[in-house]
Amino acid sequence: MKVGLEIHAQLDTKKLFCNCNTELMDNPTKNIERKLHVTVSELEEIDRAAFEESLKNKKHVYEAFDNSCLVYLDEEPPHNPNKEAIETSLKIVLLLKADIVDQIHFMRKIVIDGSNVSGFQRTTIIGLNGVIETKYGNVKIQTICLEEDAARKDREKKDKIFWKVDRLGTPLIELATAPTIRTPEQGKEVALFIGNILKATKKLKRGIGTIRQDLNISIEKGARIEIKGVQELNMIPVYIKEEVERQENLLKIKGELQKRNANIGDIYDLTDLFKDTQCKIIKKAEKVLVLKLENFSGILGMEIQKERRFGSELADYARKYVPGIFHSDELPNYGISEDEKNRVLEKLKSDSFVIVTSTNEKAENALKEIIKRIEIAFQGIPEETRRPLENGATSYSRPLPGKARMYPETDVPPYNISQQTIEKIKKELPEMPKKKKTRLMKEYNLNEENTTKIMIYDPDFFEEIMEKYDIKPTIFLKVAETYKSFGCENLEELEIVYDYLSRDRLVKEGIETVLEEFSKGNKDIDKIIEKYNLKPISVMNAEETIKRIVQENRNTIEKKGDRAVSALMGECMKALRGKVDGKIVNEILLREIRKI
Amino acid sequence: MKRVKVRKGDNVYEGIEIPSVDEKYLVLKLDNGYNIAFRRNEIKVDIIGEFEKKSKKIEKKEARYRKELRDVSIIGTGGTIASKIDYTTGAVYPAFSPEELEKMVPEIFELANIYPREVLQILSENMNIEKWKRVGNAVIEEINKDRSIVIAHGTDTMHYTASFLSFTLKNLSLPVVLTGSQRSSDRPSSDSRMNLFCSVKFATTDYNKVVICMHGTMEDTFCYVHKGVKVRKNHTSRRDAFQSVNTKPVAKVYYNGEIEFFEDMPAKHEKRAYFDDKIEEKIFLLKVFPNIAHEILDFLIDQKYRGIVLEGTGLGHTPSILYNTIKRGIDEGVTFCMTSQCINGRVNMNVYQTGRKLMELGVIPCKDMLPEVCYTKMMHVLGHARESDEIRKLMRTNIAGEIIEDTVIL
Repeated sequence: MKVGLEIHAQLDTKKLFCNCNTELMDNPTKNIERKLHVTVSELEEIDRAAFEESLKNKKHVYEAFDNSCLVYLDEEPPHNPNKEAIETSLKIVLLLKADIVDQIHFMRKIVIDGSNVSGFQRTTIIGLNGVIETKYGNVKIQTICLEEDAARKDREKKDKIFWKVDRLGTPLIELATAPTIRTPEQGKEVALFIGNILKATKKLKRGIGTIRQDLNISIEKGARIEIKGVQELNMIPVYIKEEVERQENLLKIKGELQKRNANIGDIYDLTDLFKDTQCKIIKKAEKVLVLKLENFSGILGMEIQKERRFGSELADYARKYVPGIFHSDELPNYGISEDEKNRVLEKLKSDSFVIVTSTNEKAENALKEIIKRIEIAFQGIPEETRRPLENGATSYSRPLPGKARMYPETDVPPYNISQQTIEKIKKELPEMPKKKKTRLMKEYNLNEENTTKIMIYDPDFFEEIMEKYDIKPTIFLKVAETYKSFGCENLEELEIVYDYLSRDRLVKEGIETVLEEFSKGNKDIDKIIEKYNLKPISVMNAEETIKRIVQENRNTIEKKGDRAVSALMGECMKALRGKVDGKIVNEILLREIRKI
Repeated sequence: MKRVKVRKGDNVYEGIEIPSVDEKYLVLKLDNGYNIAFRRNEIKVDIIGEFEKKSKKIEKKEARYRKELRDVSIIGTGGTIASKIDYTTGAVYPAFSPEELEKMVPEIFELANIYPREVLQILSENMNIEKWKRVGNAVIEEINKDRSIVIAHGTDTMHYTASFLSFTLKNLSLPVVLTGSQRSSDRPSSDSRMNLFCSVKFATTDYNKVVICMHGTMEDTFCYVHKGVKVRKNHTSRRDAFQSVNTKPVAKVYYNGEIEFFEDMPAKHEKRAYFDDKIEEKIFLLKVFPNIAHEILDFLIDQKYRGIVLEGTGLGHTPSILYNTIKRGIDEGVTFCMTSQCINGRVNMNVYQTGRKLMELGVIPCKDMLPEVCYTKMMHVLGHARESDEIRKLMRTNIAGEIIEDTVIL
C-alpha cells in the first residue's frame, strides 16, 4: 500500500490576486452566466479530465456580491500576488526545511468543472523537498504550492450550476507528501503534524472546511486513486482502509470475470416489455434500454466497500446522463417485479443485465459509459478522483487528471525571491510545533493526550486564555471541544465562556447548555444562565441574601440611588465574606438597587 | 528544447528547460507541469536529452460545401482572439491561423461555409494605414466571391479599423463583421468562442455594413452588433467593453443563433463593391487639456499635417491660448475638426463665446461624431476633397452612419 497526502489550508489574507476580502457571504446581488470550453493546453494535448467535464456542457451561474471585483469574475487581469500570502508560504517552506524556488512562476491549471470562473486555477510551487519526522519514520514533502481556492458550489439545476464567488481566489497552501505513508494511522499522524505546522504561522483561516485533505492511495497491481476533500482527520485511516478494500475487491472481480469468461453483450430497447410496470421511474421514462451481460450474476451486487456494490461504480459512471441505473442483482425491487426481471433475462438469454431509462440519446450515452467502466473491470482498476462519503466509502467523480493541464499564467510576471526576503522571514519564524508541545507540557503540567488536543485545537489561543483567566487546562479543552462539536469555533464567544467560568458566574455543568445555545444563535450568556439556572449555588444564595438586605434598606436606597451601594456593601460582605467574590457581590447589589 | 537535470545543493530536479526572459534564471518545467526557476549561478545543469514537442497534426478536413448555407470568409489579423503564449517574453502573442480557429469553434461550420484567410499577424496596437489597406483589399476580393466577411481583430484598435472600413468600403452588398476577444482564447472561459459564433451568424444576414460584434454583457448569453462608426472600446478588460455611443446597437445575436434587429435592413447596392484607397495620411488626433501649449499645434502645422481632429472639452472647446495657432493653421490650409472628449453627446459651439470664436476661426463642429471616427473620416474626406468648403460640407454630411442629427434618449 502506498499513500500520499495532499493538504490544503486557506490563508487568512486578502485574495491572492486582488484586494478583496475572503469572508464567506450570503445574499449575492449579481448573477453572471457563463459557458466553459475545452482548450488546447501548452503541449497541445487535450486533458482527459477537462475533456470529460466539457461533455457535460453545463452553464455556470456565478453569484457575485456588491463588492466583488472584476478579477475573480474573469473580467480583469490579475493584480500582483498578495505579499502576505507569499511570505506565509515562505515561512512554511522554511519550517519544513524545503528548497525555496528563486523565482515564482504562476501557472494556469485547467479546471473546467466551473469552480473557477476563468476555467483555470492559478498555482505555483514555492518550495520543494521538505521533510517531516513522524514516529513511523520520515516523510518527504514533495511540493509546497500556493494556489487559489475555488468558488463554492451553491446548487445545481438541470443544465446550470450555481457558484458563489466569495471563496474563489482565497490563498490556499497545498502540501503534497511523497507516497511513502505505509499505514492508515501514519496517514492521520502526518496530516496532524502538517496541520500543526501550518497553524503555527497564525495566518490560517479557522472554521469548517478551511483545511482539506486529499488522499492518494494505491495498492500493488491496483491504481492511483485520489480521494478529494477529506475534512475530518479521524476519518483518514478509515478512507485509506476502505479504499484498499475496494481495490482488493475490484482485483477479485477482475479475476472472477476472467475465470467465468464473462462477456458484455448488446444494448436492447425493451421499452415495450415494461409498458405495464409498477416502477415509477420506468413509467416516466421515454426509453428503457437494457445492456446484456453474460456471467455477471453476483458480481454486479458484490459489495466492494461499505454499502457500495460493483453496480454503484457503474451507476457513478452513468451519472453524467442519468440519475441512476438498475441491475439484475438488485432485482426484483424499486417496483420492478420478479416476472419482469425473468422476462428480460429470457429475452436476452443471459444471467444478468443493466437497465437505464431516459431519452434515447441520454440512455445510450449512459450505457456507453457503463460499458467503458465494465471493460476496465476486465483490465483492473481505473485511475480516478473520488469523493469521500460520510461512512468512509467513496464515489467516483472523474478520471484522474493527466499532466497536460498546466501552462504559464502570462498575466503575472515572475516574482523574484531575494536572499533579503528569506533572511527577514527567517527572523519571524514561529516556534516549531514539536518544541512548543514539549514546552506546553512542562509549563502547564499537561499529559501527552491533552497536549496533543491543545496542539490540534490552537496552542496560541490556549496560552492567551491561560494568561488572562484563572481556569484549568482541562476546562479550556472541554469548552473548546464542546463548541467544536456543535460546529463552531468563534474564539471571542469562547472567551466569554472562559471569563464567566473564571469569575464563578457559570457552573461547569452549564458549559454544554451555554455553547449549544450559542451555536443556535442565542449569544446573550446572561439570559442563558438565567433561563437554565446555571449559576453556582453560592451566587444564588448570595443573591437571596443581597435581595433581603436591599429590601430592608429601601429608605436609604430611595434617598441615595446608586450611591447606596457603598453604604450597603459593608453589610452584604459581612454576611457573605468567604462565600462569594466581592466583585460579584458588588454587581448583584448594584443590580438589585436599580430594581427599586 | 532540452531536457535537463538541475542540481541545487543536495537536491536534483529534472525537467524541460523553458526559455527564460531573465537570463539570470533557469526556468524548468517539471514533469508535474509546474515551472520553477533557480538562479543560474547557484545550480549545476546537465543536459540529458532533447525534448520533442508532440505536435499533433491538425487534421485537414475537407470542408463540405453546403449549398443552403452562405459563404463567410474569416479574415485573420491577429490579436487576442487568435493568441498563443510566448515563452521568451511570457506574454500572449497572435499566432493561431484561421485553420486553428476552425478547430476551436467547430459550431460555426453549422452556420456557414467557412473560408479562412490570414491577412495579418499583428497586435492591433500596431495597426496602421498600410495594413488597413491590405485588409480593405482582402475584404473586397472576398466580397467579390460573394462571401460575407468576419474579421478577427485585436480589440485595442478594432473601432478605428471598423470606422476606417466603414468609409472606404463602398457599395457593400454583404456584411463585414469585426470581432475579437477580451480574454485570450487559450482559456476555457474565453469570450472568443461566442463572439466568433455570433459574428459568423450575423455575417449570414443581409446587413451590408461594417459592424463590430462583441459580448453584450459580462455573460455568455448574447452579443451586440454595433455600427462600425458608432462604437467605442469603453473598458480596458471587460467582455462588454464595446458599446454603441449616442445610438442603439444594430442587433442582438443570442448564443443559440437567434437574431433580434433594432433597425431596418439597409438598402442594397447593385454596383460592384470596391475599396476606396484615396487616403490622406497626415491627420492628427489631439486631446485638449488644461495647460495645453500652442507649440504642439505649431509643430503639427510645421510637420505639414493636413487635418487635425480636436478632442475638445465639453461642448467643443479649447483654451483661448490656442486661437492664434489654429488661425495660423487654417490660413495655411489645415483643416480643424471639433469633437468632444465627453464621448457621449454632441458638440455645440454656439453656447459659449469660446465655441463661437473657434467657429469664427474656421473650426468645423462635427456634431455627434466620435473623435476616432472623425479621425478616420478625415483621412477619407481629405483624400478626396481639397477645397475647404467642400471639406466642411463632407465632414458635416452623413456618409456611413457616423452622424445622427438628433441625440435620442436611450
